[in-house]
Amino acid sequence: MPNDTAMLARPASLPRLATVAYARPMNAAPDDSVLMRRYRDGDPAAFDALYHRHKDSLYRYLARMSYDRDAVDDVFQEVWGKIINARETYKPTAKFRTFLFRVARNCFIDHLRRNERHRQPSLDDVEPPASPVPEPDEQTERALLRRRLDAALADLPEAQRDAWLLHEEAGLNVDHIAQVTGVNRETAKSRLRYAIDKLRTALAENSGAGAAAPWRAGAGESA
Amino acid sequence: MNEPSNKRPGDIAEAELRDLYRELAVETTPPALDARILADARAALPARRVPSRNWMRPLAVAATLGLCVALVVEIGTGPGGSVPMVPEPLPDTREDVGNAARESRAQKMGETKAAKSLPAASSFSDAVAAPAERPARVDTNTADAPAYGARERDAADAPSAAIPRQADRSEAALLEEAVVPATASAPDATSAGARLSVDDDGRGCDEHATRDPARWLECIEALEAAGEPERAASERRHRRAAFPDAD
Repeated sequence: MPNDTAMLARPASLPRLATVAYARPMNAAPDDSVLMRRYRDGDPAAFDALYHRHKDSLYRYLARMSYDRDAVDDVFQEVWGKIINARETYKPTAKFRTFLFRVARNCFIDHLRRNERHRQPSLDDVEPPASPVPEPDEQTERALLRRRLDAALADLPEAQRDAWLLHEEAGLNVDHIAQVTGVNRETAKSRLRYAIDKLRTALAENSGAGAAAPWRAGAGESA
Repeated sequence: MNEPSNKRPGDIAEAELRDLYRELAVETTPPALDARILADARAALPARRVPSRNWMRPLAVAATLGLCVALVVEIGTGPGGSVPMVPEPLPDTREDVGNAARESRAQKMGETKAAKSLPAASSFSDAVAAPAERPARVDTNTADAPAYGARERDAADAPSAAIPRQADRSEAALLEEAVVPATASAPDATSAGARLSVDDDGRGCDEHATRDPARWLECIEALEAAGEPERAASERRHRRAAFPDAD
């Protein structure tokens, strides 16, 4: 009976450390909502862990949305102040990250309404030099592309940039982006698609169609 | 994530775009800003926790008051109905009271006609603490019946002889008996000798005296000296029956 033989031989081919989908490992970091509850119950270390888990992505999100370092610092502190004050009323009905970035987005919009100091950098500010480097090495080319991406991001419409940053920095999917931005799923999806298309187009145009771009070597594609 | 990928010839892939962005976005929060926010978070904790536990203090006060009221009610309605105002006498005091009671019993039997010269005690504490009563017992050693008094004094001073006799008596009886000798006169030596030997049931000589023929005889002589010839004769008959060879 070859089938039986195959079935008997199958366990030997299984990975030695099988993980159960519904079981969390013992050393797993506590969930954000757990940390928030612990902080509400008086554990400052829980807030430290929560803060260090999300601070950089939130800071980068605000930095790409504002491009004004002082405004970013103000809004960033305001956001965490709201999180601190909301610990008693916080209910983990959604992901904490979604909640955090929704608060951040609202604070940023309020900041824009209060203060018009923020500005978006013009393409002239970030555009690379017109004359290309005669023999650019890979690092120089990479740095040039980063500057172009930064400029393209700044040139995106705010809603599309918002969707892109929520996707990249907060790690939100389309549904959560729609939830944070207060639009329906299709709108959020189209904003994200337009943002990606524009960024790719901008980089391709600036890199001369990118046929010989060294940074592409070995890079895969993803949906 | 199911975003579409509109790949065109010459375009970079989305993963490449993401990688490029990761290289670009390396900003981190300033340490001063981190410290400020974390300090705010820590400072917010006590200020917010205190109101949430404000109910504990009134609860503690209410529980304390409740316990106090329950204790007062329990004391008020307990056996006896009130707190006893007279402290329980110490064992030493009980011994003195027992001796005083025995003295009073001997005086009631009419064995003494002593003068009423000692001041009267007005209360239980006076009766217990009054030093004037102690010489009554001490006098038995220096009076006319020294041998009998010395033996009886030793027997009376032994705690085992005095304390068990008081154990089954009520507090009121002790109080009553303690006041009586204080108001009575001090006994003389003869009555002291008889006091130590006369039985409680009025027979004449107690068990302590009737164990020894010599002491029994002393008791009989004490009865005769006290003007109790009938009892003395009765005790003499009993003595002869008990100790026919004693004489």
